[in-house]
Amino acid sequence: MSTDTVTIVLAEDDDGHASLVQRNLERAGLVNGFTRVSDGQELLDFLFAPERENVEPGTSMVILLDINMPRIDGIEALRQIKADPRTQRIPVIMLTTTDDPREVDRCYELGCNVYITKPVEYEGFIDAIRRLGMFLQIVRKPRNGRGG
Amino acid sequence: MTSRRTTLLRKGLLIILLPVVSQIALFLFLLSQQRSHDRMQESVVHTKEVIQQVDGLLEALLLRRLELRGRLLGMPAEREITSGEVDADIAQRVAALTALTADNPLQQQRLAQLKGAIAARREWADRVRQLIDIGQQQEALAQFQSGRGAELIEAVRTQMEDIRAEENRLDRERIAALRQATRFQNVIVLGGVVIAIVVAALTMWLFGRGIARRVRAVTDDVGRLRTGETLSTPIAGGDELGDLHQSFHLMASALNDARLRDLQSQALIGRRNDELLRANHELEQKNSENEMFVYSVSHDLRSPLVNLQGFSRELGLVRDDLRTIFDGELTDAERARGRQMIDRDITESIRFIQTAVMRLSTIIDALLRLSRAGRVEYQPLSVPLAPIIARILDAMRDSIVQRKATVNVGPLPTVWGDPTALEQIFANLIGNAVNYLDPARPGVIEVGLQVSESDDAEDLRFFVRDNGLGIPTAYLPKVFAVFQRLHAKMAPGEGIGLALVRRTVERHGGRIWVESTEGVGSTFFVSLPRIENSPLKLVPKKESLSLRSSLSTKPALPIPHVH
Repeated sequence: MSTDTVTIVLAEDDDGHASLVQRNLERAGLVNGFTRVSDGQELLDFLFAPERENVEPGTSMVILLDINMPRIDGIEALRQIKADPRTQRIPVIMLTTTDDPREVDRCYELGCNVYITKPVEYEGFIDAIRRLGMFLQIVRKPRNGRGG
Repeated sequence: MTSRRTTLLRKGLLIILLPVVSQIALFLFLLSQQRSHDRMQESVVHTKEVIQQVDGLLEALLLRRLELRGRLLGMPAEREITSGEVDADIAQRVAALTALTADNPLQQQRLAQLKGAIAARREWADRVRQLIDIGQQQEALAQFQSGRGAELIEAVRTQMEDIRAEENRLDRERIAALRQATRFQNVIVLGGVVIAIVVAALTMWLFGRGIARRVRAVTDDVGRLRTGETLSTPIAGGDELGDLHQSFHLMASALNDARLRDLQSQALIGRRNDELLRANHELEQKNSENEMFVYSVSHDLRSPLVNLQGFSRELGLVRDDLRTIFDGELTDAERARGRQMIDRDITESIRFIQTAVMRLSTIIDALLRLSRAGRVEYQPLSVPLAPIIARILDAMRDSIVQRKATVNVGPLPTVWGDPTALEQIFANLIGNAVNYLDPARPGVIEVGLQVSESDDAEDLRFFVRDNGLGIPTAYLPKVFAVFQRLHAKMAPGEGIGLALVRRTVERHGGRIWVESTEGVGSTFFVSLPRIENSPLKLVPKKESLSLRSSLSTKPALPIPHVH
């Protein structure tokens, strides 16, 4: 099953963490369409950029979201993403160092799909992304059929 | 004091005896009056009897005369009364009269004369009868007509009249006396009633004054004690009531003392309570601060750890890949790939690992410094601030010139605190002001003392103002937290500067806070207490004792024992 139609967007301020994620994705062959941004503001700019209006929104994208970022943090970014009809269907995976139950609950309440704590267990992580990608592809076709 | 006391008992007896004695006196008096009254009544009756007797005697005598006349006229006796019987009757009556008037010598005298007169008449009458009996009627008649008989009867009658008059007089006397006595008795009874009422009133008054009033004084005082008013003056009277009232007063004053001590104790307890609440509140605050601190620090430690763990794993993976390459045929492509692994992947991994290690080391150092700052002993002095600020600005001269900044320093007073600590505070604040200037405009920094509107200013309020980048509103709560660096790239530092500064300021008994607008500038305020209110004393003491000393018992009112 081809997974190269899945675009992965990573929002992470620490270069080391970003590099680790990228390396693991490369190793799994999921690197096509990989974009990295450094904080919440950049993420929102990327998502709502005018040139993206033409691309079918939310159908082949996965967002990996850190919480502790300067300017706009992960929680705020999540809230805005899930509040906007253009972006609310994009699956969001929280990827962060904090494991505070209150934070976890808040993220799920705001509508994240998965909450993963760092350090990441990468085998399972890659597996999850792959499966998510396949799932999106399956889901995508009927929606296209309905013209949605 | 005790020997001459009239006890309550004696007073009470007196009060009871008074009416009783008066009643008894009245009763006895009436009793004696009654006796004489009875006697008087008796004598009245007696007198009446005498008169009756006298009347009877007179009647008998007249009957005798009549009988004699009848006999003289030769008439048959209508009644079977003999002269002897009449004589006997007369004698009896006379004897009775004599007995009756035995107490009256005058009457006795008269009676004696009467007896004589009667005897004379009888004598005459006997003679006349004799004459009649022997048939000498003419003689008898002559006797009758001589009037001797009438004379004698008249004598008798006169005597009897005298006696009777006397008895009448006595009778009248005695009746009058009786009436007077009766009247007198009535008066006495009436008077007795009045006296009884008066005595009763007197008794009541005595009782009221002596006992009831004083009992009421005591009861009133009991009421007053309950409501907390002052008591009346102690009543006089050397008896048990007086003693009672005095004891009551003593008890009342003891009670008031106890009340006062109770109030003082409560006030003391209230103060201690407040102190405890304050201390508790402080502890809670410190506690939650500590918790947040531990949380944020452990969070910050995790980030470099992720890199350490991740890149050491990467190194392992790269090693495996290289091993695979070198195990097989070494083609050019594979050699190139191997070289890339070494140059890129391994190099990057090592770099990130080293960075992470340094980061961890820095955090640990900063934590140690922060902890040490809480424990270092201060040497408090009166410190003039102006030279300290001057020294700080001098040290930062290059940086200031480089950023083309202007620094204005207002007049600065003397402050009570540790000189080194104070320099740390202002160096940090001024340093931040210089480092986070907006390159887009010329920087202006102001340092000074804020003059307060009211003159009560207990603290000295300083400010460090800049027109730099400012702090976003969302970030304001985190300004004094550790490791939260907003503009990490603009200046070196681990992000503990402001946390350190706050700890130092708080240890001086002051406060620090910030007002800022993003893009406009920031003002940091530091308020430090005057020497009277400062927790820093000349004798330096360890931090750990400070809490205990604030709870120590100051010299307060001793809690007394109540005997």
